[in-house]
Amino acid sequence: MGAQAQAGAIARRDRAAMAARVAADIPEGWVVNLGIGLPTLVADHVPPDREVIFQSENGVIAMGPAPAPGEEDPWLINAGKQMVTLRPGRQFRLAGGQFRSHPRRAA
Amino acid sequence: MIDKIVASAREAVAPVESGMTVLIGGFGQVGTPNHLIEALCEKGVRDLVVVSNNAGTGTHGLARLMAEGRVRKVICSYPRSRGSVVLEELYREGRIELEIVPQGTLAERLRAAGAGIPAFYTPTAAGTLLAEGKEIRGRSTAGACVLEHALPGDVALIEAWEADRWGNLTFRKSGRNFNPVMAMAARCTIVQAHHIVPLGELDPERIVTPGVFVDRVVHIPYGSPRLT
Repeated sequence: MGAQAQAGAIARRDRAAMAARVAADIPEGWVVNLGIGLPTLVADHVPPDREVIFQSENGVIAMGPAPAPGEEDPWLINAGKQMVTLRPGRQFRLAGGQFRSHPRRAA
Repeated sequence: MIDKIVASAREAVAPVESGMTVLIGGFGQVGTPNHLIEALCEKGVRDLVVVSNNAGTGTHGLARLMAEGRVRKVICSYPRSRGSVVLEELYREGRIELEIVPQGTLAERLRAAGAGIPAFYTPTAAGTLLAEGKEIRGRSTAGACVLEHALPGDVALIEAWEADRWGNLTFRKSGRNFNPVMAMAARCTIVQAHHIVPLGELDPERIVTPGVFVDRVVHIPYGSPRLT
């Protein structure tokens, strides 16, 4: 039950604001898959000091936000084929090989 | 002396024949062996079954192979992307077969083929159209599992970052994707590599695909992927 439901009205949000709202709900230490489309924007809205591990179905673990202008790397894309960055602890797996089969209990 | 290096993409794809199942690595345009695919177009083979995560965009690479009528069937997880016009036109006209496989199931069917596992059960697709005609185990909706079969290739077309003459391979960033698993899943694995290095130069800890899975390597240093 979110703040919107309590207020009785649904606020209109643009794509970035929706991604920021979702990012605000992701706690430190979580492992989160970002699927193609709007979810890939979520990585842009998690504060750098909050350690969240974003994975992408094409085999990237520990994605960071979109690159700054001039720092794009066409070898480094997310599920939506957009260029991304990496955070410390990064890994590359085979596509599909990074998926965890069963949800793990939150610590 | 073991030397799997060949002089041209044309020579590299010589083992590919009409009617074969061809595994093609890549995710979007990253790690995609486009020069080998173009060589297949030049070779003129037909009636291929292509296994690839995506089904080609624009008019080059896999899109060109399909546009030239050389592909009978595509097995993929994500056929429609921006620019996947060739597949959409062929599909609408009934000129190509399409089998959609959930992405994790695609990766696992390929892995199973490489590991010698004939089939496996997965809950993915249980209770959906994609499970029709397949064996289901487990009675409850939550516990139902679908029997999926290994997906071996006659050949695999792979893009690597570095290779030596034994065919030991490294990959570059998200260019890895389906390449290592496909390299293990085919009877004949053909690689285009950005760098050819002397045998012994690759740090053994960095080698992702051992050369035992590789048959032919051609040096194609084309630079960076074109994402659009």
